[in-house]
Amino acid sequence: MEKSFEVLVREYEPALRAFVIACLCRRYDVVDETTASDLVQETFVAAWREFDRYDNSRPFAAWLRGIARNKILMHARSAATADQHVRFLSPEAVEAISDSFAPLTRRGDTFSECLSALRTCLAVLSGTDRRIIEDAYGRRQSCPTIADQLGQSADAVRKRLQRARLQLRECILAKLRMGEPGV
Amino acid sequence: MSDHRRDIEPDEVLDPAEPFDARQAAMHGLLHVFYAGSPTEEKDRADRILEVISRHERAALADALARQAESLRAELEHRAAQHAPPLERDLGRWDPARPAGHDQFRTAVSSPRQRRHFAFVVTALVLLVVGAFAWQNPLRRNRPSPPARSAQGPETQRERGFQHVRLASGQMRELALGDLGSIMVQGPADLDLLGTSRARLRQGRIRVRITSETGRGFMVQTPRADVIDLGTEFGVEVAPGSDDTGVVVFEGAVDMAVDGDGSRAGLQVEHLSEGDGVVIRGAGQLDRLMSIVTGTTDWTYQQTSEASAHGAGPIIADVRDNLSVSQSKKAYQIVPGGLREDARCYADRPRHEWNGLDENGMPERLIGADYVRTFESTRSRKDIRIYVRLARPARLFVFLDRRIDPPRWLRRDFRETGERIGLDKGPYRIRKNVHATFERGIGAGISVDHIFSVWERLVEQPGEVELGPNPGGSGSAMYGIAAVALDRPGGGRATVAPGVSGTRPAGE
Repeated sequence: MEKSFEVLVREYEPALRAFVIACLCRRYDVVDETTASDLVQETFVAAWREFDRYDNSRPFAAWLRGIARNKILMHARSAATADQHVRFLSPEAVEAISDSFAPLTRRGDTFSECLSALRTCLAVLSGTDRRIIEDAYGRRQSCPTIADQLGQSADAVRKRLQRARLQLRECILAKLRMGEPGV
Repeated sequence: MSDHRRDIEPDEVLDPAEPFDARQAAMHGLLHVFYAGSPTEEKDRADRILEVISRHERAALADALARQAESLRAELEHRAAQHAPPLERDLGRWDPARPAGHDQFRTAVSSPRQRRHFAFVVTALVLLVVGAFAWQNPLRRNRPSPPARSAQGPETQRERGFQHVRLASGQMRELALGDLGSIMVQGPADLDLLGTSRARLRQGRIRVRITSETGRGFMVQTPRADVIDLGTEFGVEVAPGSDDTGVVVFEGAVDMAVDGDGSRAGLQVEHLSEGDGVVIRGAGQLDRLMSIVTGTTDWTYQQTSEASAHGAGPIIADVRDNLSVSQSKKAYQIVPGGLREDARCYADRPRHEWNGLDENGMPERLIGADYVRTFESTRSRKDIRIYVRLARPARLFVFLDRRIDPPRWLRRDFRETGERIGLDKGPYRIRKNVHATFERGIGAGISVDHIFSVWERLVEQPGEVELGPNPGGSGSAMYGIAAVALDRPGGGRATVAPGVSGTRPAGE
């Protein structure tokens, strides 16, 4: 059992991490990766302890997200108690994010397919959109910084990011539906 | 430096003006992971999770067994109380190598029948306690079994036995845990050593150092929490009267099982790592220990009550910052008179050391200064404010990594002296069996990795000084803090004040 759990941890860590980061992203102050890592870790520890309760007819990723959801909400409560300026997503929003991850990981329940579809889809984006995504996520630049470089307003950059994300999502879903794993 | 901390963009990237859209958030997380995770990093993170899972298992197991031993012990005490003086006293002198029912129990247990029963319970208790901790650590299975060890000689027998330690204020004693490590006990203290893998601390301060891999899992029970060593050095302090329990990790990590409401039903396990310090007040109420005062063998978190306002006490009385316990569990380590060659730089990096750049050593006037071990992990935290309280008029120093542009607060409040000090990075643990390897030299001018410039500020009025964030990124190191008294003669190699009661300068 320990061995098979190890396989599950290696396989599902990135997907769970993506979910946790998605749920932390609306905090109104800077969230660090340590918090995300802690939540992912706590989720796996809880999953390990409760493994008997896992119904293997359901996707494992969804089960993990269910555990993580509780951890995230608990964390949000305690952090909000400690500092009133901190705001987190509501339980409903966390639920909605979880739902929105479901189709991305449904096929064969693996995340690596989703990521390779994402790689293919990035290549399809227009040059500027791809550059903005790479600057924002790959180089961790802020929107005003990117905007300065492009000679656009920060708002315009944010809008482009919004559009690019939706475009990427549609593209990934299409690729997964086509059963084309991508590069 | 491979601390994996990076800031996730806040609202900035997800437009706060737009209504919440779960699809946007999901893609945000996806893109983040897509760009952040190199396969090695992912593997490292997965390894850390697996390591923690097995630790939690050990902690849960140790706790379950300890509870069983505890209930058996309660049963035993109940029985003994019906016939005899309190068992506690007898257990204290009890030698597990002798056959149970030996004459030392005769005063306590009168009839042969009672004695047989008593002996049975005692034997069961000991088997359970000894067995539990041998089982808890798989490595120990390969070691000689406990009876074989006790047969080795009187020395080993004493080590494995129960021992009561009561020390008056100012007394210190080192207890050996066989070849597994040692415990330094600072009075006033009341401690029961229950074999080589468990101790019960009712009051006082201890500093436990486990030097052998086999010694891992050593447990310190206190009125408010059980602290389980995961290697290698930690301190526990139970305050007299209140039972408030402070725990600090100098090196390695511990798991701490905190009683929720006294019933143990709400048991909560906290993992503490290098540089962390917390205090448990009341039932399950966990606070951050902002700072502790430490030397090489001693420590305390109650320095404020002990700090002296006149002459001889430490110059740096207290250090705190604006992070809450949910953001950080780390405690600043104040080392009175401790700055010298090879002094440890950071609370959370046990092997990084301050050194002079060349054979002339570090600036002479810094030697013997009070200094603060800050947190390397806050080097890029932009919202941090650190408050240093000085007990006396002093020269306050900040050591800034030269790779960083001096921040505004530093240029405004401090003066660059032109002096330099070096950071000699030692190996540090990334995860189990994987270390960042840095050669570490002993003494000045050997293997210095980074150069820091010394900034100075004269503080004529005792009180609190605010320091701002370290404006560095991942390719930089956190600043250091030190202070010398203004009246220190010549600013040279001054005699080190004896420090607050119970503490000594590092390196003795």
